[in-house]
Amino acid sequence: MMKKILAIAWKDNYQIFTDRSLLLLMFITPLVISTIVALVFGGDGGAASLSNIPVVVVNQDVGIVEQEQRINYGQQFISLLMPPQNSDDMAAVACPLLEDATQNQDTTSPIALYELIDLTQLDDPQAARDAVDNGDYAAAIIIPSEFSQAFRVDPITISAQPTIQVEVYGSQGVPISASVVRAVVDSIINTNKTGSIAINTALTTLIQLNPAVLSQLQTADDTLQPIYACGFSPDLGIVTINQQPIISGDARSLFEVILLSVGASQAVFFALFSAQFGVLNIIEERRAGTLQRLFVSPTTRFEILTGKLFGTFGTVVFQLSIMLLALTLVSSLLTGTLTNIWGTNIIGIITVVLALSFAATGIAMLLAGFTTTPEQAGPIGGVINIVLAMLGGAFGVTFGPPLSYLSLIYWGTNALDKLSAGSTDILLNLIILLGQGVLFFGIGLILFNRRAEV
Amino acid sequence: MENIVEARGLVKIYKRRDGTTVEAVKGVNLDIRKGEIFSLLGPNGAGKTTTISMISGLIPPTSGDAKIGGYSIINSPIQAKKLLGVIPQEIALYPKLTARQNLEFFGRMYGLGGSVLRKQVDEVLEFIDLKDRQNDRVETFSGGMKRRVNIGVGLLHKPQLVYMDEPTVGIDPQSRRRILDTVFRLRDEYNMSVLYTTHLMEEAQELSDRVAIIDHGTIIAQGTQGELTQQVGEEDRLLFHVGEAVVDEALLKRIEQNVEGVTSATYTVLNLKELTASDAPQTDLIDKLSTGTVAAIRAGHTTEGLVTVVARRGRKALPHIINLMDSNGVQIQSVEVREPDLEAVFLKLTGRALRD
Ligand SMILES: Nc1ncnc2c1ncn2[C@@H]1O[C@H](COP(=O)(O)OP(=O)(O)OP(=O)(O)O)[C@@H](O)[C@H]1O
Ligand SMILES: [Mg+2]
Repeated sequence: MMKKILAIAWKDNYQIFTDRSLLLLMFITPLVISTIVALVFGGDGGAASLSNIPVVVVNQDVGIVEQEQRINYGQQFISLLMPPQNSDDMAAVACPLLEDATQNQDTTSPIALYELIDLTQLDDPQAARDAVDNGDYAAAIIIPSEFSQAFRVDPITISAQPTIQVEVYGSQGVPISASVVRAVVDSIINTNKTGSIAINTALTTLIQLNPAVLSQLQTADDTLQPIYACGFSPDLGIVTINQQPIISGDARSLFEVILLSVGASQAVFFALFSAQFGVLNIIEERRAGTLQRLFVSPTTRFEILTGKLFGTFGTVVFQLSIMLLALTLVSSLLTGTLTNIWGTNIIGIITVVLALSFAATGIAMLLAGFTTTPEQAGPIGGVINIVLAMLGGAFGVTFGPPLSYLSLIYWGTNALDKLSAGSTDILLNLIILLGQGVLFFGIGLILFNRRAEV
Repeated sequence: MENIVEARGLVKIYKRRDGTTVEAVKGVNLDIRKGEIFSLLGPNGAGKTTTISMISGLIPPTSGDAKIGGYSIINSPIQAKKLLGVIPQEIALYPKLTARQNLEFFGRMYGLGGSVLRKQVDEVLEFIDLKDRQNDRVETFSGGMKRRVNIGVGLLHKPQLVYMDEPTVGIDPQSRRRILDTVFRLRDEYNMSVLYTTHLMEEAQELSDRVAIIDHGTIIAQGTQGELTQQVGEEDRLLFHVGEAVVDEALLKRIEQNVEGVTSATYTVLNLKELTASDAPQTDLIDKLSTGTVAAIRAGHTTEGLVTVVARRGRKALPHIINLMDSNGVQIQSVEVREPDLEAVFLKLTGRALRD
């Protein structure tokens, strides 16, 4: 019996791992996304030694109207460089998920941008440049009029935005300070863009996986638009940094911490797609007639279903393991030293990966239970995954409890983060992941068996 | 002779989504002997696939049971399925796997492994003549090659019974010939029984040792071809192709009255121009026409006279009829003797032609 189960599991995995476009989807895309996010959020740790650099800013941004709200990203940009009490009056992006998010005000930021920069606002760009030349400021930041426009993402075409040109006018006298300012500006702009890059990549990927998603998005853009808004809300992006829990005595660099959490959550996010792909493959095989062929062979229903689920579980375990290895490799390459961002608790890491894979396969089984065709399951699965990923912090956006508690991505990433920092306090995480898995599997199998007429 | 399949009282009632029901199979009994080619012949929608799906354990019967080699498909499905090799109507393979990988995978599902599996796969690859392409992905194969792999998968475990569901639908004449030859080889070289479904009278006639005719979910006749055709009597049909010659009523009367055993004589003129202008593909047309008509078309004739004589002992009557026509100045171009066939049986039992 075991032989047949393994043969089915092996066959499914062989088909997946010899498909080049699927491999790209499973490994390269999440790796690239997490590296970008980590570089943007945690790349310039060395700049923190400088502080109170005098900078002048001119906001020429005319703003945009989004969701019937006037939004001026230029002003938001400036508020990021000012102490928190000044940011009350800024126009918030309409992100519905943000309302429930409890923002931790008192956490210490590794780089508090407003401590780094002493900001003065002027209206006339030429006057600002002159002030820099006079030596009053180290640099002038001039935000162009089409700044907000550039952040807009068209959900239908998912087109790339034009590059944003924010002028940083540096002083010849203090070149180091000027380059720091330039780095900060770049980092903020990229931070803003990362949210939308991450979501865009996820959606583009989804569409490659299943073109039907595109039409789904076009009809459903009313519901998706707010999710976009969350994705490129600069406010949320920065909050993520502020909320990074700093475990005392933690010797890890910010880059490592961020690569770990974003990387792990991206890995799980894409593993969710693999799990769904694997489970929905049953429906695909029915259409192709190969499932019928299995049913007329002397193989039981139990063996066939177990083989397919076991295969999917194996795919997910393999994918997550490779992703963790690849992320540590990326970290080593970019920091120049061989580092293991996951820590040395190998047994703990393996346990978390297995529990995560189980929960992810469970979600896929649930999906297979309540949908009937791949056309139906693809878009629904995509939206479920995006929501879980948003809640779990896979796009560099964190909502905090209790919303994030719903997502397996939160529990998995949180466990890996603890293990990496040397803690072994992951029992609750494991219980919740396994519990979710059992629950989803149970419901999914019952629903699936109820209507599985071959 | 021993039976490999015994189906008793098979009934299948499908429930539609709107709550109505379809009784697709209404109490079918079948006996298939070891080592014979058995055809299940019936028009589209007669219930062939449904019957065979129940026998192979793919769908549960509403009532009734089928035994394969003595094992009930309901009570001992695993043992029964081990004896059965299924070749589905549509190609059911994994396109991303190679021919060999497909065979190996399904071989494992039949419990094969190790050197036995390797040997069987080699043998099947030889049999379907794809040894040189065994390591190419199936998605790169032509339709005919895919079909051969599709057949090969059903033979891996050396089943005692192979079932093929309309394997020649929609394929070119050459591949079709190949499949029909395969069916004979399975019986003659491997001593397998073959259950073959088709809606084509010619195929059933060429292949089968025994035939069951199914219509509206009911078996209306079952037996050897000889047994079935006896039901319609022993009258032969004689076809005289007379080219552009004209045959008058008087001559037909004389044939009917003077030649022993003749029950009727008719004269028809085929318009060959119309026939050849038809939309049907040429190969299909030639399939249906008698050789005499084809010859007439090839000779460039525009019309073709045909005298059809129905006689109890056709071969005995033949020289007398030829004599009569000769002495009346009608030149005969060719003669065909048609013995009673399955088409005639179906026509007699249902009042309809098999092919509408
Ligand atoms: N799953 C189903 N649900 C409802 N009705 C069905 C189902 N499958 C078949 N039928 C009906 O049962 C009858 C017999 O169908 P079946 O496929 O067995 O015929 P068939 O002889 O194999 O025909 P063909 O030569 O076209 O393959 C048809 O009327 C068909 O519409
Ligand atoms: Mg059929």
